[in-house]
Amino acid sequence: MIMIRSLCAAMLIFTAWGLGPQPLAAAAQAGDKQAQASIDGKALFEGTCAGCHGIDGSGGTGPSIRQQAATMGADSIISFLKNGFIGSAMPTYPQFGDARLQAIVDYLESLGREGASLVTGDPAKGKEIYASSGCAKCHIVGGEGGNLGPDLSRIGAERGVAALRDALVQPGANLPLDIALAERAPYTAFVLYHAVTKDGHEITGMRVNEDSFSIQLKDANGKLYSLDKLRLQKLEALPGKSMMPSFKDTLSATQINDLLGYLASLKGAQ
Amino acid sequence: MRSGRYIGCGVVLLCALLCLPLRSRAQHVTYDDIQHSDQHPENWLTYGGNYQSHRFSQLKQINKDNVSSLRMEWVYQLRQAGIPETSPIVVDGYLYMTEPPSTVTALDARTGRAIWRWKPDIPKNLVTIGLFPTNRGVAVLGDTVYVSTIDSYLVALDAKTGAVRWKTHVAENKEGYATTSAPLAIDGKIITGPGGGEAGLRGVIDAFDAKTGKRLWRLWTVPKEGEPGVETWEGDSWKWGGATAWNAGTYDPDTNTLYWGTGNPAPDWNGDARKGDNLYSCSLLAIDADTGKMKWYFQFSPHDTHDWDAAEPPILIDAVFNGKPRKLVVMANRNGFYYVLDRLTGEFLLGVPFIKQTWAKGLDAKGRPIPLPDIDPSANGTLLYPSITGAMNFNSPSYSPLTGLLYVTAREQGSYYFKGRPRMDPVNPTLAGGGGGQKVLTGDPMYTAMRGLEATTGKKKWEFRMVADSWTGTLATAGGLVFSADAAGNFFALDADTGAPLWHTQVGGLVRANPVTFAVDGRQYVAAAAGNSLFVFALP
Repeated sequence: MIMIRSLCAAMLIFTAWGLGPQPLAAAAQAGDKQAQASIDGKALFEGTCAGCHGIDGSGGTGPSIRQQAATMGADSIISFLKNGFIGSAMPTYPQFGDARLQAIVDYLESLGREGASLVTGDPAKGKEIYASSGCAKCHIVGGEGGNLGPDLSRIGAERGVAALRDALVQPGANLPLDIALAERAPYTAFVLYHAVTKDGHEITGMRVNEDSFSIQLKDANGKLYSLDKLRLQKLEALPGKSMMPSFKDTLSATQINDLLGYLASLKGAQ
Repeated sequence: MRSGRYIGCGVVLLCALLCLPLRSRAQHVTYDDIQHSDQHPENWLTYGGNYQSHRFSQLKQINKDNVSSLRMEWVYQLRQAGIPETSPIVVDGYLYMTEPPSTVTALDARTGRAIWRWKPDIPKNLVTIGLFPTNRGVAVLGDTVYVSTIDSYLVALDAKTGAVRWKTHVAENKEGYATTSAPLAIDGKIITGPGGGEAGLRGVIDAFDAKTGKRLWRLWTVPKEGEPGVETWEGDSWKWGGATAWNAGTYDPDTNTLYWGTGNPAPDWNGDARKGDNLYSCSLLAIDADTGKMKWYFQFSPHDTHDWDAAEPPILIDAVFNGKPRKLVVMANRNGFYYVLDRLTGEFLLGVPFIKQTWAKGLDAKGRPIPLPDIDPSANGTLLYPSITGAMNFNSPSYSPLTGLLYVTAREQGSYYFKGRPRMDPVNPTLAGGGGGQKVLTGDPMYTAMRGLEATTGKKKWEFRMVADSWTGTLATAGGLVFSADAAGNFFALDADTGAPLWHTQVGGLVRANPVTFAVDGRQYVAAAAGNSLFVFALP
């Protein structure tokens, strides 16, 4: 039946539904450590969450929840799964018991950690490279820096290493999906657009948001343009292009690895 | 009472101008009224607008020339948390809507002020598998409002006070039966179907006496041992076959026939233990409304492993097909094909894709899909179009007899289908499962489009492309307009002939409900539930 799985991503809802948890005959009541050890969190996740949030948690009709364990914390997620959340369409799962809910959270955490082993660079050196390469002109880390590009304070928790490497050497080629603003399935973030209004005014800027009738672009000076699509004579995406420079030729492979090490270490203020 | 006479004259004049019949606020809806709902366009008497589910209104006060000045008239903020899918019913100035999960609220349709509210006690251990607790609306007949509750009771409420007249147990929620659909009121009967097909149960369609709540008949959508069709289920797999009739159906008063779509077989994505066609899942059923006996069936997706329910309300059209006047039933199916059938016989007449589809070579002469190789879900994921949410879903298309077009929100999206280990556990349905999962293709290539399809051919006449997804039904009017919305909160009106956008507004929340239109005191309104509210628009 699975009719209904389009939710406001900003609400970051977990939608869980019964799609095939494994037999859990041995699973006892909440708090039973032994039972918990026998629970296959992956199977439980794929049975209850994957239907809406994707088999790997990267989103589907529901939002991506890959970073949810890192951002919400295990206790909040378990509380959410038990009690629900105002405005959420998601059913609650108190009947799962703490052991099964914890197994789901454990698996969710493992998704967020995926790719961490690929980091080989030195974060301390990377931090110096970050400062000397001018990254802070456009990015904020820990409250400091410019605001043209995305906040990187938690980028290590939010993006995989491969995607971060792409962003450094070929920005614009492998853009992430925006899960914060999209009303349902995520769409591509940071896409560069060129717009021409009917009176001939040209704007090139990064897409901040878009719907069927309007698009919001931010230009290289950080100025926001709210454009009515019906009043444009031209609107084209510029695939592969980005406001961010490539560091492929300005940093060595070692420096890029170190910078990656630093970025991957940015997990927020905790 | 001279002033009263002047007001009366004014109302008559207004009604004459609007071509509306003058109706008192009688609050009594007869079967005849619903049967001729097109003659009472000030009211919206049944889920689909009329028994044929056209969602077409004869109102034309709001039209192509003036829709650009449409403005918000009132907003009703829901008292219940959740995402509404309600399609309001309007009777002589009363607007009846539901709030998640099963609350019924009667509003003054002119102002949005509440008249009464009825809130059922929902069990704390409510079982909802494969669905979330919401409700799509009520039915009305006589002076009674009918609602199917999430825990699968059918409740009759007094239309003026909300007092309970009777309450009937439809199906056992502990077994997984949970109801979100609007019931259908026909002559003396209320028809309803619970959902919950992933819980390890068999679907049912039930008819109840509108006066007493007594069950008149039950149709099981999955045959049991000894019944024809059970051979399409391997072993005992029929016992948890699913195939629930979880959305509203349609009715042909001329032949006293119900047309109802059914959902997926269970478990969803692993069909290994249920080899066969799995009747009557993913099918359209034609049912004798007096006896509940099936007249014919047509299965769109035999042995479905992609969750392609046939849940969208079927639309009945009388039209010339291949030079002959025919009585047709059409459906833009979740599997990506648009179907035209003879509704008297179930004969397949036409089936063409209305979105990109990559799972079937086509349909054979009888309408059975010719599947391409390797389309089954797999351990590493099988990429197919359409996605699991489908080319369409539960939201209703509309049909305009003026344009001959069917207006449908078509989803262009692919999905990786994964196969897992299924589990059906009727004893503890909360542990039941569908045996797999999905990963939909997202990002910019995915889009939805409102399409105007020629109803008898399925040919696309125009489309209006939306950036966001859409879960909204459509509403067509004699004013030459089609109303719908996208998931980003844009509620809009298009030119019914060309698809050109004529008006839009941002309601700030997800729209997952079918819009309706009605009139009070000669003034036309358009209503749609969005976010956590019901928004109502009118001309200044």
